[in-house]
Amino acid sequence: MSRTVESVARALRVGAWAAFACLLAGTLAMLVAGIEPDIGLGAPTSAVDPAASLLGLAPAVLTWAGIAVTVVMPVAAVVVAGVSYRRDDDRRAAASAALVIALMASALVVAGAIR
Amino acid sequence: MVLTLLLAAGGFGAGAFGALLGLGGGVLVVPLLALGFGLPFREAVAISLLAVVATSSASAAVYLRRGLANLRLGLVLESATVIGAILGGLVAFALDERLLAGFFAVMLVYVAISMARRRDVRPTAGAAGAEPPPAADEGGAPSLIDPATEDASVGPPPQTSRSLRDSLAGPDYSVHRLPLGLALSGGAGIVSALLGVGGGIVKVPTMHLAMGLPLRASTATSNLTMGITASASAILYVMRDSVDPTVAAPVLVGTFLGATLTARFSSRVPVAVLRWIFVIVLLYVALQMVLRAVTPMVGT
Repeated sequence: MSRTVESVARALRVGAWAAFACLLAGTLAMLVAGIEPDIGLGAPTSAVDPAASLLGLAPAVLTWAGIAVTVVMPVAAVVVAGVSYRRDDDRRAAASAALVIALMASALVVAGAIR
Repeated sequence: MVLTLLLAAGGFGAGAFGALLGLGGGVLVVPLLALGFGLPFREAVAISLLAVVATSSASAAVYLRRGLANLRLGLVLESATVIGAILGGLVAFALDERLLAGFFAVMLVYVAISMARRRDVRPTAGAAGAEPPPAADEGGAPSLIDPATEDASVGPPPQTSRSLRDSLAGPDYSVHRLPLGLALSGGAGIVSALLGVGGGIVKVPTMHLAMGLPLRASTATSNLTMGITASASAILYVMRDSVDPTVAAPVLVGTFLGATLTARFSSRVPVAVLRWIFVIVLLYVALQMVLRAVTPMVGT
């Protein structure tokens, strides 16, 4: 396995487990706080005990942190690949990674402009 | 609590399914959340995209370490996919969605038949999960199949070659028809943007049938690249507050677990089984597309 592949695999593994840890902790905190998933069924979210209310902020912070890490992971992996390829002087592969990042940024700009 | 566990179980199934087939699991998550739990469609799509990213990241790490996912090829094809997605997003409002859905259904049936008619070949010596290049079709092979892959002598590229195509070869296979692969990957991006389906449903057959990658390498590489495509869309949904974290969190916890476990054990699933599951999924999505094409749009 090349150094680049190793670096990308490591970045994805660490990111995946970090996201999983945040999301799992957030989900458990939701359960402790008595917060049910809001799917429009009128699930009660206010019936929480005092101990749970201390954790009131934790579920939101943890779940959003997990979601943020999840979303950013693939982009980070491409950046890691590009930097690693560049370090190995593999310009063609580094250019591929840079192109993907540039195109993704363009897609976000275009989508933002359309909406 | 029961609801949370049900969502996590659904995410587990989607993650396992997506990691096994390189489809991301969106095919399961959207109907599960929209039909099963009554979530608004847009929110279901947003969480589905997050699940695709989660499946991709969790399984791609394993597939990369095992040498199954082709990082170089994935990056090259992803460039075309993102361009296709941008084009698809630009023309999305100018085309009749039902016509596109009908066309896509025909294409999926064609690809399903192509994959079903493949002859399975026993793996030769190699890494765990290795699979020889696709073999010749039996009787009336569709033209998508690269004749070069029908030659059993296909092996590692010569070390002296510096062409882009050779630099993308895997440990025990060559990459064929790169221009066609790029065009079809661009098509995957267009289809993904226009119809809201995962690019994997196009990318896996593209890599396997048109470019000559083994099926396992195709699903693994598709898993790697799908997360990149989906993350761009997911960021937009998150920024537009279309994601409910109380629903997304349990789904993603299940997805991570399902994808990670499946990626570790996927090499034990026979290629023939993998192929037939994929064919069934292709036909299922084709049916969904036919229904979408013939059903009058209500409230959309």
